[in-house]
Amino acid sequence: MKLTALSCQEHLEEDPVLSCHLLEICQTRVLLECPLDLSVLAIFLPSFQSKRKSHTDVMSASLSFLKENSGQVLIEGEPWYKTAELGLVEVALLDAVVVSNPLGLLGLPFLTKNPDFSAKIYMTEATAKIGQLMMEELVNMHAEFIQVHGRSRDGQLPSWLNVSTLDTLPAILRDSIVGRSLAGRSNWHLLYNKADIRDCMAMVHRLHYGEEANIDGCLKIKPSSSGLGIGASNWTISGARRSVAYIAGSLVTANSVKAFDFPALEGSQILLFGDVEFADESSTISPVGAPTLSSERGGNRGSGEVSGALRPDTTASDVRPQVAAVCKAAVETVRRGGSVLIPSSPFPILLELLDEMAVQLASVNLTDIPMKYISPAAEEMLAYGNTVPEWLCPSRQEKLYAGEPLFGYVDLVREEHLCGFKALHSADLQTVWQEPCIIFASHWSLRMGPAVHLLHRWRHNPLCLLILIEQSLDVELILAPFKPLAIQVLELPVQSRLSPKEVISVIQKVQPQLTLVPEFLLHKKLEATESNHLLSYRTGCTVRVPHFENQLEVQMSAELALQVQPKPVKPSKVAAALLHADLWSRDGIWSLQPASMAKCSGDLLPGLQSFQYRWGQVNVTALLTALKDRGLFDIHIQETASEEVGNEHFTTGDLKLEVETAVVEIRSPSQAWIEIRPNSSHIKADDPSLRHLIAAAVHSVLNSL
Amino acid sequence: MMIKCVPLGAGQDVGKSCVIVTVGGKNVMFDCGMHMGFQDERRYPDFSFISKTGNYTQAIDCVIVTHFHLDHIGALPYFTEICGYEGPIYMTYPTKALAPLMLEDYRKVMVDRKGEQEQFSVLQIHQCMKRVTAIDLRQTIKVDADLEIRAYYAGHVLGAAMFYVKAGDDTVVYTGDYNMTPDRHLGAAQIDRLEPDLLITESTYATTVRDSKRARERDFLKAVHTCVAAGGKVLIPVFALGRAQELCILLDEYWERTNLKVPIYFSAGLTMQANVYYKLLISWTNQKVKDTYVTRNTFDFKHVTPFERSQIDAPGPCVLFATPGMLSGGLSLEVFKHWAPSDANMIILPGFCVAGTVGSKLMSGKPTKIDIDKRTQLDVRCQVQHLSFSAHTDAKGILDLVKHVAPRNVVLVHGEKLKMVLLKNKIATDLGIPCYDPANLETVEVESRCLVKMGISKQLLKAPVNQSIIQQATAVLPSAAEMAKEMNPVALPDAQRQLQTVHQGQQLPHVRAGVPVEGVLIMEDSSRIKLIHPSEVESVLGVASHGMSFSCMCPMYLAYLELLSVRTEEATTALEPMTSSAILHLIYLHLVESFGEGILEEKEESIQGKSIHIRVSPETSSHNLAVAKGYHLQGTDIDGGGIPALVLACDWHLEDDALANRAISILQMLKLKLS
Ligand SMILES: [Zn+2]
Repeated sequence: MKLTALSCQEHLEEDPVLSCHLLEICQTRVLLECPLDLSVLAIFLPSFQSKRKSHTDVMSASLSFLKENSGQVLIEGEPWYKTAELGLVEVALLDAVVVSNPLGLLGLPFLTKNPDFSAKIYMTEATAKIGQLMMEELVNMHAEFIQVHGRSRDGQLPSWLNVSTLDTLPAILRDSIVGRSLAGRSNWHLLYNKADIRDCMAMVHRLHYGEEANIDGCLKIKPSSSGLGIGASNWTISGARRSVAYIAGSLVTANSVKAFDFPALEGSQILLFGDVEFADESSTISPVGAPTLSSERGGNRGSGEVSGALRPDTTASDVRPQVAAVCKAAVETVRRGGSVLIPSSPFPILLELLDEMAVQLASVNLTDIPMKYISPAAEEMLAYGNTVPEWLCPSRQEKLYAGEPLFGYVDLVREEHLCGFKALHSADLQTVWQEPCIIFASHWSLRMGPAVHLLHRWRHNPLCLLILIEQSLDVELILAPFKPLAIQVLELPVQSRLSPKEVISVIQKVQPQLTLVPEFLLHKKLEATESNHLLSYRTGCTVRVPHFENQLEVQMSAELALQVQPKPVKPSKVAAALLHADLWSRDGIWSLQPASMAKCSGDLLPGLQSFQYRWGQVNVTALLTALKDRGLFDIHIQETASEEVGNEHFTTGDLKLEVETAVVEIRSPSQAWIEIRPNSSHIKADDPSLRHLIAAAVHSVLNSL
Repeated sequence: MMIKCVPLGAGQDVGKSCVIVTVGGKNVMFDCGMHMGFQDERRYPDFSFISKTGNYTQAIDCVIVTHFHLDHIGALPYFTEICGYEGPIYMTYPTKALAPLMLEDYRKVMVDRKGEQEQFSVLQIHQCMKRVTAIDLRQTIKVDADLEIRAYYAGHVLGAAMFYVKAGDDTVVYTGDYNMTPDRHLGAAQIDRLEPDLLITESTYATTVRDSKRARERDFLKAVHTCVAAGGKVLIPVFALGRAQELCILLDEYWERTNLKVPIYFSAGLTMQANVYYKLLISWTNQKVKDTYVTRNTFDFKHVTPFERSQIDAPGPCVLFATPGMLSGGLSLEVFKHWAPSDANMIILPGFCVAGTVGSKLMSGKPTKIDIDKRTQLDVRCQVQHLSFSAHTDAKGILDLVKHVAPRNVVLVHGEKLKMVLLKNKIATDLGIPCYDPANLETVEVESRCLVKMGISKQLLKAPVNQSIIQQATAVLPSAAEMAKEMNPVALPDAQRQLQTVHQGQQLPHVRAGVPVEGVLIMEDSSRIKLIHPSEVESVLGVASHGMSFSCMCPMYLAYLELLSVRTEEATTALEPMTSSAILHLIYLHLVESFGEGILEEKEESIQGKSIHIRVSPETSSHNLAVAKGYHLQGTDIDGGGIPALVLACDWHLEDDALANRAISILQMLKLKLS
């Protein structure tokens, strides 16, 4: 088994932004996730600011596409999108792609567009649904750039990606684009279109939690809930010799969706952590066995005030503290008369935010504050959220049994306090627009979409509030094009990966024989665990996972078992039998079936099989009888020393016991000799049928199975 | 091991489905239904069969309910709350959500109509449902270490499922009710080729092959349309779930299409509430409903409004869906009393009516007067239509399912006795699968396929590779080679390493079927069996192997050699400079032509491959060559003897006998060709 990490991360100290791995197991190549690096989208100028004079041209005419704003240099032009190091993947050899959540799906059309791609794609039904919505949303918003810049020609590299230009770019920009080596250029792609998305999704096998799928008969894979969002999954991947539990983006704290499913992972030999939070050195690792709930995440960034006591009824709630904090800040802002902008994508926490926002607005009697969700996916996402009881936590499932909407926002939609709109400019929205309001809007790193336009509108208003809820964003860079800003900015990233502490607790619960973690975790974070069971991987490198000595098992059909009749073997206390059968592999389980082909015994006599096992010594008297039984009478016996007829091919290594051999000569029907030694017999005869007759005679006087 | 199957209900009958299956040492109860045709203790399955002491929790490992129809779930609250079963219960999410509605509906009607003492209370229904574990389709659930269950889509009603049960190595599929054709809101049943030891299938329509459903839908719509167009009222008595939604979708779409304005009513309460559930459970409907729910949820009926009792005598045409079905009481019966006397009106009875209900009286003949109860007689002048919209599969569908699932045995339940016999014979003769139709409390025993598990040595798993090299050197890489590669990437035997390099860079075939292996089975006792490679026997059994080997002399004649030299590129003008090793090389080239590359190689003045060695015998002298050449030059006929130009000494092990004999016979055959 081999694992190759394909994340674009260059340095150990960096937060690895992409979780993407190639797993080779039981002769099957599985790509784990195919995400896009959305953080680098921030190096582009937002669509609406393109072709405006307000920015300073930084460089010479040859670098006219670079614009400077608030100390940040950005690229003007149609953005390209960066995937993980897919160049390390031989597309034609890929057997399967496993996608754990919508974020892991965003780059997949780039792969499926390749005519060599023939792998099977697996994800949960919900991941497929939400992921497709997100990709379509991206294509929709990206159209803003095409409106401004026109459509790029296929196959033409943008100027900033030219090798010659790259060298002249500012170092920071260059690093974001290609890292230290120019090889990173191939990770950039011109965005796919809707037809590509459709083609890609048509290849997807959609699974339920706990549903087993099987890759070419040798691997069994099964998704289980990861707790991150609707349909988000971890996987167990098992073959005849290996079983791996693959942990993707996960959350072990309670929330509105089905909780992290520990039992599903138990019994796996290997635990693979694909996506782990990069916590800085200062975060303390508590000793083994300590509670692992991480509630101080927001605090780490020194921005949001997060505590479990925000709501009076938190005990029975499935709301994450960060979500409650976001809503609390929003409610306070609208109370002061300001509007709130929450750039957000459909996954993972949008529905939870809407729900909690409604609760908090109601608790302070502000239900007349309008809430809007503006995204091409808005309508569909809102409708979809009320049809997914199977993917939700038990308390939400109780709502199904009670015949109530699964999320509270459904009532708001009915009462028209919450509305979904496809775009900011839709006529319906203009007529009902009213401030203050709370807006959830799609954004893609604040470079396109309704969120960008609203931020531009409200940026000078100090009463308004912008809440950034997504992780691993360079806030300075993201906000640069909008500066100067008077709007308040609150950064409250919502956890979407396991923290190092949580990793330890998962290891303890699953009890694997071996754990694979990203290298940065190994250095200091995981001292608490028994490190001899840890193996680390780093970007661009392949880790070989050693074997475990485990008993291999095979199943035999009853039909075949009846054909086998073991007979006792004298000196030992066991019975043994020869077996000729067909070996099958199905769902990673080996089984033996009666042989379909007649054994190609060829020139061998019946009963004298090439793989026959014989032992014992040839008794010359018995051999003579056996030869006579076969019609051979002209027999002469000679005794000679073994050295003279020694044959280097038959050295058994145990010559001490016997130094004498017998030679039996046969003169009719033609000449033949039998050289008999303690542990071997050699037959010299030119006539093939005579050769076989003699062989059968020798065989008959030996012990065999 | 034997698998036992006993129907406690629905054995050669429809109603109170309940089948106990003993599989792999586990007892599983499939469905726990009640019989609507009985009012006494016969309405429940005979649970005493399971346990004489009444300790059902110990006797049954789990209860599986396939769908929310009362003949499949009606006895569940009784079994848990009154009989005291406390073990696990599984059903799909929709069944868990909708079953309480059905149970509560039934409880109310019974108490209402008969004034009968209720068998279970509202509270008991809820307590019962709390014990239920809801499962998703195709999700594999481990009930315990040795018992796994999995649900498959069955069509029929929302949330209906077939169940696959695996206990140890033994497997059973129980279908419940299913429909092999999609309808307005549900898809067709979907299941894998599971090849279970036993398939237990419903057989409601054991001999019927149904006509087009579209035609029946058309007739229904036409009848309704004609009636309301003439100002009449249409009453459709339905149960809250299932048929009600199906017909509602049909009418709602028709109204939309034809722009009809006549009101469609749904009896308020239960049925409207049921639609709320259906909306939450969109993912369990068919693809068309799923595709459109964003813009328009199919269960948001545009033309359907709730009905108030006060509207019974309101003037003007309308269509009313009223509960309960079969006109067995409640609102539907009350409305019937008001509307039946007018010949402008119409009653449509969808589906089956249990004997004794007003519905069943209407369906038998064309009565003009009906006794509602002992004191009331009613004139029936309205039209009465019966609509058979079955959500069950027909006989063809049953056969298709059996073929598809490919079980080793079939048990039929949930059907009419005589028709089941016909179907049973058809399955046994046409499909060649043993088929049974046990009556209630009659046990069927079938044998499971009984797999033997054993250890297998790594060496044996590698073995097929070597063999395949002999059989066909240019063959596609056999799957076992792949397995073997995974076994031990570090210490690969040479042959495999060779294969690996040969096949690098091209797509590896993923055929994992039927690779021949030859091994030795070692049995210490019945529980410890291991399969090893013949070469491991010596160390495992502690007996030294007795090897057998052969050798022979193969004379080569000049004319033949000459022919060889002419045929090869390296043909020389004369044999003069030809040494014995040059001749050996020619022979090698010739053998490679037949065997292909990679089996034999030239090494140290000999041809080798596996244990085979072919070399020039020391008995061959330069004299031979010269003499033989002399014969030739003088034009002497060398046929039938003469002096061989050289003699080849061949030796090999018994293991490679086939290959060696082939090589020798190739050489000999060529000699014959010459003569
Ligand atoms: Zn049914």
